[in-house]
Amino acid sequence: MDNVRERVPTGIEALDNILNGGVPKGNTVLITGSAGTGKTTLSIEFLVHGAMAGEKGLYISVTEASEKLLENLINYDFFSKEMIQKGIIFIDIPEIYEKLGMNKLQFTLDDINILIQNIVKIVKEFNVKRVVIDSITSICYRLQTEEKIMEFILRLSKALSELGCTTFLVSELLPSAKGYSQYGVEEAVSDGIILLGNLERKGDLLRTLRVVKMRGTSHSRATYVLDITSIGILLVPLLKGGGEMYL
Amino acid sequence: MNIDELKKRLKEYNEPLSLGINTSLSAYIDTIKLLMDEFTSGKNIHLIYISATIPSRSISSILEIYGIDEKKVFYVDCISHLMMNVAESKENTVYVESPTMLENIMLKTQYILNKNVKDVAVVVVDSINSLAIHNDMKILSEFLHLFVTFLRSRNSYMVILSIKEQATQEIMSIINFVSDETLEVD
Amino acid sequence: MKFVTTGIENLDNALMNGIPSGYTVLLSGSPGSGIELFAKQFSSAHLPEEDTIYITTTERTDDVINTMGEFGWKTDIRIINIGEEFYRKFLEKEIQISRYREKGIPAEEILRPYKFRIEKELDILTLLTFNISELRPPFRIVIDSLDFFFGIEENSKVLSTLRMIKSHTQYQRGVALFTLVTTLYPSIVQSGVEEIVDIIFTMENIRTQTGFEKIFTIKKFRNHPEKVGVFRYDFTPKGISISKIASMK
Ligand SMILES: Nc1ncnc2c1ncn2[C@@H]1O[C@H](COP(=O)(O)OP(=O)(O)OP(=O)(O)O)[C@@H](O)[C@H]1O
Ligand SMILES: [Mg+2]
Repeated sequence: MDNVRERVPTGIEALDNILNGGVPKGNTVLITGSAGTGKTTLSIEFLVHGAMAGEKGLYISVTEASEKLLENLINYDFFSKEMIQKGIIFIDIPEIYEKLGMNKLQFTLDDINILIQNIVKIVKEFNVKRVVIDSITSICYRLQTEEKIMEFILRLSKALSELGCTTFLVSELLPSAKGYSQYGVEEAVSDGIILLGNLERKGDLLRTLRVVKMRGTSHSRATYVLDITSIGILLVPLLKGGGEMYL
Repeated sequence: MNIDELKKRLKEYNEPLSLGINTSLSAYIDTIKLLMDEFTSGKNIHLIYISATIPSRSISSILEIYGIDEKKVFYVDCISHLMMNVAESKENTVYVESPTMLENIMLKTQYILNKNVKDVAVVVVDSINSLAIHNDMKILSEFLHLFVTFLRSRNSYMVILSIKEQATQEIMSIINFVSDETLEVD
Repeated sequence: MKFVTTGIENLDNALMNGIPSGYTVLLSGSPGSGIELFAKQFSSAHLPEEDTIYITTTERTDDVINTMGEFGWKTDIRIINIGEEFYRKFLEKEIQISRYREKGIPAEEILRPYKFRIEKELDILTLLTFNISELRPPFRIVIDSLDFFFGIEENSKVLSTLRMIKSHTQYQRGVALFTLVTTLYPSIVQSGVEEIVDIIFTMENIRTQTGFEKIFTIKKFRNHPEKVGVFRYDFTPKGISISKIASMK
């Protein structure tokens, strides 16, 4: 069933196994989940493994100052913070907004175009191969209408895909959200969805991960339990004990 | 068999396998001691000790008494938290909050393996009876099965300890199911 | 109570000694009525011991000095040019934004080592209060004009800044004069400012059948309604002069 699309290994061994080798190159993947479930950690590790393999990464920070993010980042056993700063470009989007005069609460179509052009420009100039936007939800908030959100994500992912870029879009799920994303549009237009969550089983709280969809590959849809460690994210299959409750 | 026979038997193994050891309470400490001694004397073998019966610190002090080198021993301690008994963290010990978090036992073992162990490891589960107190049999057998499979893929052994006095029919059948061989020690 | 001169003798007389220390004055007028000239005349009329600042928002500093020189007024005042600084920064930013929107943000900007580079917005009102809070009595403050602040900040913020200036002036026994162009703002703004100040002057250049009639009004004088009155004003080579309206006598 699998066609022969080139894979981009996330570097998270178990996740690459789940995906039969990695994310199909050029895909735009929604990393979605509620607060504190490990979305940022997973996305950064994706970039770190890219940097280790000589692939330039771009991290676009929307919600948190990247300086603070770097401070709080795990000290990986396998890659120093200095190397991370060398291999990954960190950008704070408020700065981009400011430079582009995007200070209105609601973006115009013109704003969207210019924002995409600028992201694409950076990707081209630095030959970026892996992009993370953390989070897309905060950008969607400024786009407001479903049409504009759709337009933005589709055009951005098309442009990045054509440049051979594989993209992770972090999506913040509020408990009120029904599907896998806040506005519903994000999940429909992405090529893949990786859902992170918390699961309660008889009083124990476990972090979980599930690949909900991934265009261009077959994959396990099982739920895995996740651990965040200095050697990276580790996964094991969730035991089917029963009595669990998704939070 | 007795401890000496067990010792002889252990020496005969030369490829990764999973072993069930059903030991009487009186031979329990000697069995632990023997396992430690045997498996850490090999050149490239590490021992990962899953302690669910007595806290890792107590195991550690037993080894100290007998003068067994702890250099190649790591602990996944899943009982100290439950007993509110976590002292300052030791470098060779990882804690799991409760023996019901079976996935985390696997995750922490994986962590130790990836981080510290280049070659072969022996994972000792002490004990299946304690884990059976906290988990239902279905999930426990799924856990051990998955765990054994995982370790095999990493070229590593698993030794499941059971205490005879507490071993039920059900526990024995799980051991038999996941082990290549089950030994009775008195 | 001590009084300070307005720089216009007849006006001092009409006010029965000038302006009491501690008072805040609003001078409002239609465009072209001469309120900015009054502001300059007033600022240069300070006594040697009065520390005087002239805050201009619309003119170049040189133009203020030159105008005062033309009338032979003293120019030993401190001029703070808020407008110039604001527009320079503002324009620079606008030009850069349009360049970036057109051509994209340059790579070296992206790579610059990160620190929170977003410059704090130039906070004009803070700048204003800071300059004023530094003054020690006796002092004289002239702000020409309030329009600039109402144009770029929320009305309520400007009003509360004015309230602070007023109480500083009152407490330290200085004097302050604000100019405001009438008819530009909703009446709440106008009445908000009028409510804060102690004295209100207005200058109006009214078109009549025979030409222009220049009317100067003392519209409000706190606790002294008897000082309220209407006058004629004119421009002379020495500045603004005030005279009584004969017909109304
Ligand atoms: N340096 C670290 N060392 C150990 N654990 C960490 C470290 N950083 C994060 N974690 C753990 O990972 C969890 C998830 O962090 P992360 O920021 O990746 O989540 P997130 O889904 O991006 O959260 P948010 O919704 O707040 O952005 C944290 O709550 C913390 O428990
Ligand atoms: Mg985050």
